[in-house]
Amino acid sequence: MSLSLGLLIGIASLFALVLIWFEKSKTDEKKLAVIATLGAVAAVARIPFGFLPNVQPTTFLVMLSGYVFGVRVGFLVGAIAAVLSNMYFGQGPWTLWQMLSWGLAGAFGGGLGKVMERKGEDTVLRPLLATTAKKWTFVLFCALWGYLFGWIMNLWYIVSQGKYANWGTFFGAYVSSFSFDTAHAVGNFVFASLFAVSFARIFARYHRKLVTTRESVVQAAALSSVEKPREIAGVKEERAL
Amino acid sequence: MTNVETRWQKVHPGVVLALILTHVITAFLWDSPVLLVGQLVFLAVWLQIEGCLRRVLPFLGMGLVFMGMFFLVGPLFSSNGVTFLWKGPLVPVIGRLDLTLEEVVYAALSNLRLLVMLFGTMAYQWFVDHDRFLFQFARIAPRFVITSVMAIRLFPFLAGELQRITEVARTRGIYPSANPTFKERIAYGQFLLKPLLLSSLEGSWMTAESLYARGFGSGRRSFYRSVEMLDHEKLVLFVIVGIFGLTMFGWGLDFGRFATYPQLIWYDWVGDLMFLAVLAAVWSIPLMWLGRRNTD
Repeated sequence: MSLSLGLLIGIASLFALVLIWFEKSKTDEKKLAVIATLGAVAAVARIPFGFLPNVQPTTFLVMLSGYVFGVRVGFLVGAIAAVLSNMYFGQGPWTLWQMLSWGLAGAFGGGLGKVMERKGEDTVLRPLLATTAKKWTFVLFCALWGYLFGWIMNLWYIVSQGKYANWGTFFGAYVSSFSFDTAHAVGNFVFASLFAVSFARIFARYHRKLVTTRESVVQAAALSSVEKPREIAGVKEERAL
Repeated sequence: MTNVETRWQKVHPGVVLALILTHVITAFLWDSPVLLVGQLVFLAVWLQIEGCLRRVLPFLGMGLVFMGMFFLVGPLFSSNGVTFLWKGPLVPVIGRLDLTLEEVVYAALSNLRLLVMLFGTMAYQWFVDHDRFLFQFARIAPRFVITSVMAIRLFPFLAGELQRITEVARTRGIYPSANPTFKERIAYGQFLLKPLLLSSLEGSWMTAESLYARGFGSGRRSFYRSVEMLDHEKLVLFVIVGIFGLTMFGWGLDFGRFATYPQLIWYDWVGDLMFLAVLAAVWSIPLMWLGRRNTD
């Protein structure tokens, strides 16, 4: 089996696994709406920065989505953002690889959020990226993903070479993309350092609303299941009286 | 780009996708420039007939930049071929930097193949109705389909919303200077994004409420809308399978054979031309059949 075919089978299997994972999950309508909205926002966010090659806030927004809403939401927001933004910038063989790259960036953001913002009773109320260390860790990983994104994207070119892909092709692709990857990394660094905290506040506000509503619904359901027999018992008592 | 409506969007999306995939997959089978150029021209003519070719050109820009860079860097770093055009210095780890005729031809063929893929993707973009295509999977992947369809709907809405926010900012006298610096442009872009983010997240709450009101999450749906394949579309699907079989047969007979390394050898260019003529004729059959039936 050639390297290209192996890579294609690998990426198809990964997407199939994520799809099964998503379908089997108990994602409610609010989370679905958030994924669709953030995916569309991350895609639209590329438009005002279209004048700068490879500098756009999509990676930063996708990673922040993952950071606040979790790994699953991060991956899906990234994958959707790739498809949608290319409806404006042009679909191509690179779309599938952008879906993978941004999806992984979002999932990584989710993992980072899980590690840095440890879950506790005050998770929902505690401000995110509140300390300098947390903010700059996030910013540095955003910048790093500028390069990682480009390195994953280079694979589509190598795959497109089919059976003729060799180390020369590999090296050539990575050398020629270096300037673009650096622009992407610098852009991510700028966006994240300037806006990570304020955008995290907006995301967290919505996340809080989402969690609070869900918890209140769960609590209401729990209360009703406890109180129902009492009410029924009360009715019975009244009738008996 | 998303608002383009073509007659192909009325055809069953599975059939159109099969047609496009046949072209993309077969482009990987052969190395002959005649067949690759022929395939590219065929796809370009198809796009032109449907009035979409001029729309491809703006989107080619970035692709061509990358292709140009790969075209220059690829041959420089590989060390294959025997017909030297230029011999450069020895570089540690990489070896000798050189340029051979074989490497240049190989890079050109790779870029031709990329263009075929690009045109194929453009055809998918304009000739497949995304909603109808996604509905095919509504039964097996309902969550994914509803999320994707919602996001597709939201994209033009949010693009319009961004435009609206920009105009509101302008009427209030907030716009970048005539020659904005990099920092000013970034700041202005982010200034526009913040209200967009807030309003869209509020909007998503309303969407979620609408979904809930329509019974989402209360169990599996009892009815799924799907696009039925008409009889003539089924026949065309068989024809497409036949075309793929014919291509494989021709490939097995060494049509499209072209050796790049170690030295350029074009085994039978006349045979390739004849095979291309046959292929062009059979490629046209589904287009004529489906195109005619759907414009009656």
